Amino acid sequence: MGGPIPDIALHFWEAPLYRIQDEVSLSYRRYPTARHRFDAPGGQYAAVYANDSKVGVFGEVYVNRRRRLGRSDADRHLLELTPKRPLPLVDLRDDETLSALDLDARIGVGDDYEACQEWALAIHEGLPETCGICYAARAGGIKTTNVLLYPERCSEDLSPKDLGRLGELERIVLTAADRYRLTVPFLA
Amino acid sequence: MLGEVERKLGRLGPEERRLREELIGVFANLVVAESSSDRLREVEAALEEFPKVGEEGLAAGSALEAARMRNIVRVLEDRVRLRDETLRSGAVEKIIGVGRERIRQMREGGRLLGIVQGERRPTLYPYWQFTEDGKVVEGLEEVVAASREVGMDPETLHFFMTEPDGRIGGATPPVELLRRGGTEEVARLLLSSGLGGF
Repeated sequence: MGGPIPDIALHFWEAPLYRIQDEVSLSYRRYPTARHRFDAPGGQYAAVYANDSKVGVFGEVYVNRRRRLGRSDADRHLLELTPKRPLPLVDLRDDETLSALDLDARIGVGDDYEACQEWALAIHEGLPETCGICYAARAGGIKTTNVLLYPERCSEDLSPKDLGRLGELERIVLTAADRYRLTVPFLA
Repeated sequence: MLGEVERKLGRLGPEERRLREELIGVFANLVVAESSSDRLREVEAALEEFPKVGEEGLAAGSALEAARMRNIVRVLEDRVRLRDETLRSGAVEKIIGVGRERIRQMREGGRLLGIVQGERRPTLYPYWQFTEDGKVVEGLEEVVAASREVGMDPETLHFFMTEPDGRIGGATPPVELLRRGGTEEVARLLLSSGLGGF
């Protein structure tokens, strides 16, 4: 990639988003080095990831953890984040947006995280009005979407609601366990 | 107890009754015979015929019950694997030539991976962390530290290390990478797992 971000239509996100967290309020911090798909390469911004399905988020979090929830996961919380206003996002599920940026679907599901991180930084710097990126979920399934949020731009625009400890959310967790073949010792 | 089960079965339709009787039969075999992966796979296959939740919505009624059963079978499969793929502390003492207290210190300090199962059950030490010449595999401390940083418990770390990872070529489990000196890459895999930090 190189040069400024071309003109692209932003997607205004209104639906609730879901995260699994240790905290019951939205928590985030900057990391000096990138770890996840759209993290800042050098700690330029904080990143918060979420999925638009309260079941899909389990696929996204736990499939890469060998489809297992540990006993300590029982104490984690499922958090629902409802936007207080439509959040402008770069939609990497949209063919026209991908074409304008000269990208393809690998940006959401491929393994080249460095390229993804460079794009996320370019979007953060080139489009200061955006609150993040929405992209195809790799593990959560084709019907769900992941969202990267730049929380320093929009945390005040999100209303967090604690849906409960995973150990107490049997229906949701077992539905996810069935869908993604997860092993959940604390519900056995 | 048996009468209660029969009364419950009597309330079901013929097809569901047949499925459940089949499943109870497999479970009965599991109880009387030594549990094994093959038997658990039979149970798992039988459970696949039970109701599943649809694409939308959450499991309820019989689908929730079946989901609970399928989860129990997966948990039992993990129990069997842990039994087969780990050592108890007495065996570890012999391999690395240190006493029980030292092993506990090494485990708590993240220099040995131990799966603590509770006060009355033995702590389990996965085989893969030991080399043939009685040493702890190089890089283990960094791997354990990374797993702790991402809130992954020792049991999950065992499965993480021994099952193939699509991000390193599909068929390769991270333990192979670790044995080839890829400590940093394994730590990076751990740190980037999931959907951002908790």
